[in-house]
Amino acid sequence: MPFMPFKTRPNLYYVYDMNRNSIYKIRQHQYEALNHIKNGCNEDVDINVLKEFQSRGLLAESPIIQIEHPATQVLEYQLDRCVNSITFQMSQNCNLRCGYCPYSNNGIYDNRSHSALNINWDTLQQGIDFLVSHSKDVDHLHVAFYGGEPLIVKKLIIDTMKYMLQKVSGKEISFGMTTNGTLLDDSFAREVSDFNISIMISLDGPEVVHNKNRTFADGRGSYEAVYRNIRHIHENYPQLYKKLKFNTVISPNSNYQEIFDYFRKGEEIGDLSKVNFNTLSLNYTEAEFIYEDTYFEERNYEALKAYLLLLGKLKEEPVSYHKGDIETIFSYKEFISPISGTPKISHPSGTCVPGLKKLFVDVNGNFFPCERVDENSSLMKMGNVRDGFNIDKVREILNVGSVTEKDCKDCWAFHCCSICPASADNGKDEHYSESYKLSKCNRVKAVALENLKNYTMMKEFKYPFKREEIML
Amino acid sequence: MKKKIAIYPFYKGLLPLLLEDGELHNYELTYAIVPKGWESFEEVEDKRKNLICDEESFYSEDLMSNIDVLLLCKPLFQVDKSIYSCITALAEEKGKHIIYVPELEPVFNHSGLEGWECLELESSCTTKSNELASIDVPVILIMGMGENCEKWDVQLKLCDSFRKEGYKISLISSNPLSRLMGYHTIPSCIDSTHLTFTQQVENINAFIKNIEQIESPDVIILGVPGGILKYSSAAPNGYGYLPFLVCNAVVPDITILSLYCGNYEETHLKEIKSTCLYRFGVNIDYYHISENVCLYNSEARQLEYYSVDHTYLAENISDFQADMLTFNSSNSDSREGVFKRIMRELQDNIPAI
Repeated sequence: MPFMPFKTRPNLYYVYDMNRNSIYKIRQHQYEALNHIKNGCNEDVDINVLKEFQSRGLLAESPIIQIEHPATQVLEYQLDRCVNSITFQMSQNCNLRCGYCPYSNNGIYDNRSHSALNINWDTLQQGIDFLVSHSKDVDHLHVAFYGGEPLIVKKLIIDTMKYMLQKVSGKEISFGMTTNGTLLDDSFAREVSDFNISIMISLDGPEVVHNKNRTFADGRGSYEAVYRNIRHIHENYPQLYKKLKFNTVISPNSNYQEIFDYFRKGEEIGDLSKVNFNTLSLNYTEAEFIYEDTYFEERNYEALKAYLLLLGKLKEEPVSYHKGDIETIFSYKEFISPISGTPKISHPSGTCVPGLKKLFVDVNGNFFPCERVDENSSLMKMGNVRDGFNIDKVREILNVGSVTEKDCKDCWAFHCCSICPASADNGKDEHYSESYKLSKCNRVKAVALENLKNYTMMKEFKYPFKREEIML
Repeated sequence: MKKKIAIYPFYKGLLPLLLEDGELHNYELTYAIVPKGWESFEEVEDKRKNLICDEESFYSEDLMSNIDVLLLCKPLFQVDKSIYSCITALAEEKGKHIIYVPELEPVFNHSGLEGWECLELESSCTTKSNELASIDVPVILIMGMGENCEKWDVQLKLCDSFRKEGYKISLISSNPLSRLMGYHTIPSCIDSTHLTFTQQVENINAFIKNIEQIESPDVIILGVPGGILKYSSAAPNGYGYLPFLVCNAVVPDITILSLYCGNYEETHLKEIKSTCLYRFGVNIDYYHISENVCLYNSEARQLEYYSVDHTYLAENISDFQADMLTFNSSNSDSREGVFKRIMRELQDNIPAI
């Protein structure tokens, strides 16, 4: 059934219409009738309610006859001219052995292990040349460095940035790096401070929390080293410090209040405006991660503050502290843009064009859609720096919805889906597995429904969703 | 004697200037300067390719000394004024005349342009008449879905085709760069904030009539700036205002609508045709399918464009689209077929069956 009835408050009833990607306010008896139909009831009184909507062109049956991503037909041309970002796996090694790392051989994730392999200069040059030659129609190019730990090969990072700037003029060039922060020393900070680079440092919170998982190979906690480097940058390279961000992984059984308070105070290293909070990835693992109620209390408390800030009900905190939640709230507006009808040939939302906005290159020069995929996955390998894109493979990766076509065609969350190639890949098969992909659906639908409710609630308060009025 | 001109930055959309170099009025194209990492222009034939010059070589070989005029253009994607700083400083140091396209005024924040010449739209005389004049020569109107759908390319190739058949053409172009070729542009009153809609319509009409009377062309080709519809609420595309203005000023005999690349269904083309009929009062006679794709980037909140290869269009334009009288300007067979059909229609003064 391509619709979803829902409530925001006990006496406010709505239905989401997939075909028109629209939300309608409805009466209680209509809500109850549609709910009955969703639950499999075929009473005439309920069916008549649905028919009344359908007579007005609403809540129509799904018009979709084929699942195909709209970029499929012109994919090779888009990839020929619009690639705007490349991420290099600088090394498969790391000086840490974090407990939750997919590469730490901890039995949680199916992925490669740490190895001594580093990327070589030829691969980097070929990657940069590839990016430049495949970005004729874009105005902003981004080069990012990932790992393992990219700072294991610091000189290559600097050389790559210099090479990139030599290859292109007249376009905005930016750089990024994700690092554990332990090797972010003064000499590197001095060298990169003149580049347009943003650095994401993995920092899980106060010392006790951080050191629980983020340890050196010998078991020592890494907090002191990270803290020292960040403070040094703060004191000596203020411009670079402004470009630091933090990635905080929250693992189950953590002291959540302590983590949030650490950043709320903003006294130590960074405040909430610089932090992305993430739970453990659910990709490439059979494990279930159970987060206690206290985590959701803390997390939802922050999200609630974001809503109150936007509605003008809370003034004590900077808007920037809640940038992530606010971006999420605004993304609802992009998702829920009413349309006159869903095209007959369509694809669920949630998937980007592999290689376009993000092209991940491993140490051997192989192409993957992003850094979150399993590098052992033969499904996800889509070319290399020497031969370019394997367009047929990219096309298969892109059309993740086609493997579950009969389910997706009739799914109410078609335009709200968030299943991407990485989340649909089990890492074992040559092609997408229908059953594996479907196993992700319930969670995705639950999140989509929550987003619908939150968006609707904001509209109830007549929030105008004007981005220019927020200072992020 | 023609002045030697260099264009910076040279990008794909400026290819007509390179390929129609002989058409430049008062100018001889000497260098088409490409910044590092931009287009490679491998497909351009050799005798024109020697005009293409990379920016580094332009500086290292002191090629600025060989030119009289530097033309500054703006590519379709966003650029910062800093990309022009080096070349303009050098041009000023060597006493070269600098011309720039009007789209660069916001890029430069309307400053730093003193002493440079803006390639503005032609100014129109204000008319006192509040009655629209009848245009007594055939008018071919070329509209587009939006920017960068090869409207200009169609205008120039249509001119060329008619001229080869011995006809005298007056082109009133949507692109200010046409002035370099000695063509007219849509008059500047379209940007006026102090004229009423009615006054703008009357001025445009008087402008066209004036050209007809002075030049006595066999046909007027009129390129309409802007797009016919808003793309979305986030990308208004001018709301179709400029086409509405122009279509009220003149009744065309033939209308070509240039569309972005895509495999259009028959129903879709018919809907577009109806929209243009009821919105602008014009009947779309032919559809040009450009090689450019237009997408809205919701993250960057801007329209973005990229191009496909012309072989994609040749392989993928379905049969019904051929019956719906579509063509692509890079495909000489389809293009000349449509142009000859237009000529026959105008000669016979009835639609060809």
